[in-house]
Amino acid sequence: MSKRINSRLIRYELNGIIKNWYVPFFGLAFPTGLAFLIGKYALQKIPPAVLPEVRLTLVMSQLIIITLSIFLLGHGLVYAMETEKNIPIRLELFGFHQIAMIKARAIAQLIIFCFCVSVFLTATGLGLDLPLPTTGGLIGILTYTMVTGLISFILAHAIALIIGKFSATYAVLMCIYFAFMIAGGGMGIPFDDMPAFIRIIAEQTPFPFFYTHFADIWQGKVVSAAPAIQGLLVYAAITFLILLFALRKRKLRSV
Amino acid sequence: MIHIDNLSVHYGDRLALCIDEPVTFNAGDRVGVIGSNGAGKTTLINALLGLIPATGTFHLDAKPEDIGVHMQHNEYSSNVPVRNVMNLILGCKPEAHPIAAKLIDYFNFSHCLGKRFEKMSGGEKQKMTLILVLAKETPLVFFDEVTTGLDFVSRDHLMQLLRDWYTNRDATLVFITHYYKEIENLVNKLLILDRGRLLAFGHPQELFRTYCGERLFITEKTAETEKIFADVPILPLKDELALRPDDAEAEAVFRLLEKHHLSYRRCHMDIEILAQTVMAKKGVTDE
Repeated sequence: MSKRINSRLIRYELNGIIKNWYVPFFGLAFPTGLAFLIGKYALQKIPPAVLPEVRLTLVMSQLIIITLSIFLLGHGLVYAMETEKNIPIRLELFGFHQIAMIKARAIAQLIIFCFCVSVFLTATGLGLDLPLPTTGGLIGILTYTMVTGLISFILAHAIALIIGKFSATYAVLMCIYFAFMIAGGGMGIPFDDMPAFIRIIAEQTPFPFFYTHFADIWQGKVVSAAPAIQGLLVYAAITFLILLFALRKRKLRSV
Repeated sequence: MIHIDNLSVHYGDRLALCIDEPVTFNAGDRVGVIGSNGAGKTTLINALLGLIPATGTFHLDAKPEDIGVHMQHNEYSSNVPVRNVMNLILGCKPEAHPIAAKLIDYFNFSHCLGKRFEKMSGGEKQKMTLILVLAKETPLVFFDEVTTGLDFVSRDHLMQLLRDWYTNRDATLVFITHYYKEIENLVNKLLILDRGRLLAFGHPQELFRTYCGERLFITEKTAETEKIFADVPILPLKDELALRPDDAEAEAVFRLLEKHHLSYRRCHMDIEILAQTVMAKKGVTDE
C-alpha cells in the first residue's frame, strides 16, 4: 500500500469538496456576499477619504472566513463524519493508505482555496474598487493565508481524531472558528479595543494580523513581520502538540 | 494462506477471542466461520487483517493488495455519486473495467451508479461493495456477514450469485455468517466460535461425523416422540428431536418412525445441527 498520491485521488477529493455545498457556500459565496453587503451598503456613513482603506481591511478580513471554512471546518467536519463511519478503514482495505488520502485532500483543498480566493479577490476588487495589490504584497498575503490554512487543516484533523464523533467535533470546531474570528477582531470588536489578556492570547495566533496588517501589505507598505511570524509559529507549535496527542490517543485506543 | 498457531484479542480486560490450537486455511479453501453474536467472528478477521491489536503467532501469506474484504458494515462518502467512488477504487470508470462492468450487469446495479451512497437501499449498498471486492479478483477474500440486513429472497439470490461467481475460480474465501444454511455446499472447512473460544475446526462432514454421528433422523420434538425414542441416543437440540442411532439401531428407529406415522428427515450433514451440538458438547449454552 503506497503513501504516494496520484491524480485520481486528488480528483476524487476535489469532487468531494465541490459537491459538498458547505465549502462553495462558506468558502466563496458567503464571504463574497458579506463583503459586498458591508462594503457597498453598511459603510455608507464612513467618510469617503478613508472608505477605500476600510473596504480593503474588510476584504482582507474575509480571507479568515475563507481560510477557516475550507481548511478548518471543511476538512474537520468531513473527516469526523468519515471516521465515525469507518470510511478511511474501508478505503484502506481497498489499498488506499490513509496518509495518501489526507495528502490528496490537503492538495485538493489548496486548489479549491486558490480558486475561491482568486474569485473572491477579483470580484471584490472590481466591485468595491479596491486598489491593485503590489506583486510582493499579493504573494505575501496568499502565502501567509495558505500556511495558516494548512496548519488549520492539521488542527482540524487532530481534533477530529481525538473526538471521533461528528457532532462533538462540529461543536468544538465551531467554537474554535468563532474564537479565531473574535481573536482577530472580526466579530465587531476591534482588536485594539479588546481586553489585554485576550489580545495577548490572540497574538499567539496568525488571525489578528489579517485585520491589522494585511491591508498595508496589499498596498506594499512595509510592516513588521515579527508578530505575524510569531503568531504563525505558536499556532503551528500548538497544532503539532495537539496532533501528537491525537496520534498517541489513537494508538492507545487500539491497544 | 492463513496459518494460526495461537491468537488472542483483548478488549480492555475482556478476552474477546482465543484460538489456542493450530488453524490453517490453505490456498483454494472455502472456509465458513460461524458462531452466534459476540462469538468473535469479526474480531478474528479484524485481528488477521491487523485492524485491531492481537497477540500470538499467526500470519497471512498474502500482501494487502491481494486481500479483498467485504466488511460487516461498509460506508463510503455520500458527497459524490457512487460512480466516482467506484472510479477511485477500480482505477477507471466502472463501465470501462472489464470485470466490474460484468458484475454491474450481473447484480443489476447500473441504475445505482448515479446515486449517492446514502440514498441506496441496504441490498444495493451490499452489492456495491461486492462488485468492488469481486472486481479486484484477489486470491484471498473475506466476506463478513455479506447478507446481513437483506430479506430472505435477496440473501438467497446473493449467495447463489457468489457461488456461481467462484465456481471456477481459485480464490481462498472466508465467509463469516450466522445464517448457516447459506454456506452449506459452499465451504470445505468450518470454524466454530463461541464467546471468543474456538470450539471446532475442520471439514464439515468430518466434524459432523465426530459430533453428530454418521446419520441422524430428525423429527418433531414432543412429549410423545421423546417417550417413543427414550432409549435412542439423541443430540441436544432445542427445537427438534435428532435421533442418533448406530448401525444396529437404525433399522429399528426407522420402523418406529413409520409405525407411529411420524414425519422425519434423514440428515448426513447440517451445519445448524452441527453448531448446536458442538456448543452443547463443549459446555457452552446457546443464547
